[in-house]
Amino acid sequence: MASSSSSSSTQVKKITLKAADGKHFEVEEPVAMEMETVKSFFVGNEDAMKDMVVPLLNVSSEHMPAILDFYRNHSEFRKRTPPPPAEEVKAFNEAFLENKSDEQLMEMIMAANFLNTKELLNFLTEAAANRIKNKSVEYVRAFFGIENDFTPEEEARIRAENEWAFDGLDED
Amino acid sequence: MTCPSLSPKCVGLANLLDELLVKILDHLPSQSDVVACTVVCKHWFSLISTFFKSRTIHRHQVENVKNTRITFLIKSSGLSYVGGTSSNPLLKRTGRSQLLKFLPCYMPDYPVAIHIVASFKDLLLCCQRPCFESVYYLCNILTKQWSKLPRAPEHDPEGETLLGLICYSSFPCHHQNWTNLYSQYSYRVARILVLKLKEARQQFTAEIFCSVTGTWSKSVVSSPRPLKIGLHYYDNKNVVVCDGIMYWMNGGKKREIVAYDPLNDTDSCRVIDSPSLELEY
Repeated sequence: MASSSSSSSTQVKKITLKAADGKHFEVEEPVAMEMETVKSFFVGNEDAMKDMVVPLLNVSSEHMPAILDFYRNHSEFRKRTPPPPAEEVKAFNEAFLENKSDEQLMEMIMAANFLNTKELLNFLTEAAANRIKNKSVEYVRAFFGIENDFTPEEEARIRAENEWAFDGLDED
Repeated sequence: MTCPSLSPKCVGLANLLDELLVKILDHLPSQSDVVACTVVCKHWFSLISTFFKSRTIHRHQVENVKNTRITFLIKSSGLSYVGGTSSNPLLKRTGRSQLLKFLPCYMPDYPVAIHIVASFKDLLLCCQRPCFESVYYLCNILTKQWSKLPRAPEHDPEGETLLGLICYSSFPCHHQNWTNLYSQYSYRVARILVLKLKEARQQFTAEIFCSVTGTWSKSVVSSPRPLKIGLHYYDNKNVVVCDGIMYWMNGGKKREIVAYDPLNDTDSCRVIDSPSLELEY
């Protein structure tokens, strides 16, 4: 929360967001406006600003702190002159993903999609792609929790047609 | 944009919206990863096939196979595999000429009959010489996909040509979304007829195939200076394509470079002077 100016000021407007499970989050206005979904809530509805609680039906409170943290840091990165070194951004991004399970990552992708924030969605989908690249088909199925509905013959036929694509995938 | 009202608790990963799935797959660094995903389940197969069809031949020139860096030496007589950092064992063990085996014009008894006449990133334009100079195949040796161009106008079988392959997007290239890119790629093949006359001419003939119309058309190209196309005293008729422009060396002693734009200006060309330092061949 320390990103904005001096300590004494109480001028930073806060917006209250309500996660799917009812938990409230007080968020600085510029951070909240990173989310297109929140922004569009207020468009043409300026007088609603003060005490309106914005319901975020598809975002679990479990992910809210991390998501808000992402917005705060990345908007600060964008504003900074000179721009932060690539390693600093990379270090933040890596730390952000470090303890996230595959399932949490997927839930956050759904949340980012609902919140309609391109930067976060792009970052998370790329992270998901990194987790499945070069992996076997079985691994990808397990990752997404998908059941194979091909018959063995059908699967063998598709594999044979695209033989080149299956060489060199990880065994796991 | 409407959002499905799923409560986060019951969002199975398998329910991931198609739109999001496409976004994830689009981040995969290599095309082979995406192709491998077609066997995950039937739904993925149809989803990937939907935008993958166009990617096969028109799109991978941008997407390319980033994980696979292969170097080929393209000579007028054929193709040599030089080496590379491919993780694909298929390519590691394949030698020259074998790589074009999948083309219907491949003759096992006479593999060198297939000539690579032009290339653009991972696409090769091939034809069989000397008999079928008017039948061209566009192919990708990694995916083994090919398409046959409609027959080109026939000429004197002894005649020679300079060929250029140019792929372009009618879309700004920063668009990353597959669905937007669907069938946005097109290509042209320009065939410059080599002049046989000894004297220089201020015009030459170009035949251009356009993938959008699917036809060959003929242009008479005028040049600001006399050209001696094909009368090189060194036997090198390479065309280099850069940013949609074809460049080749003019014949004659001055070593000028001819620049021709088959996309935007089919009726004229430019002539560029060589740098003053002596070029070595």
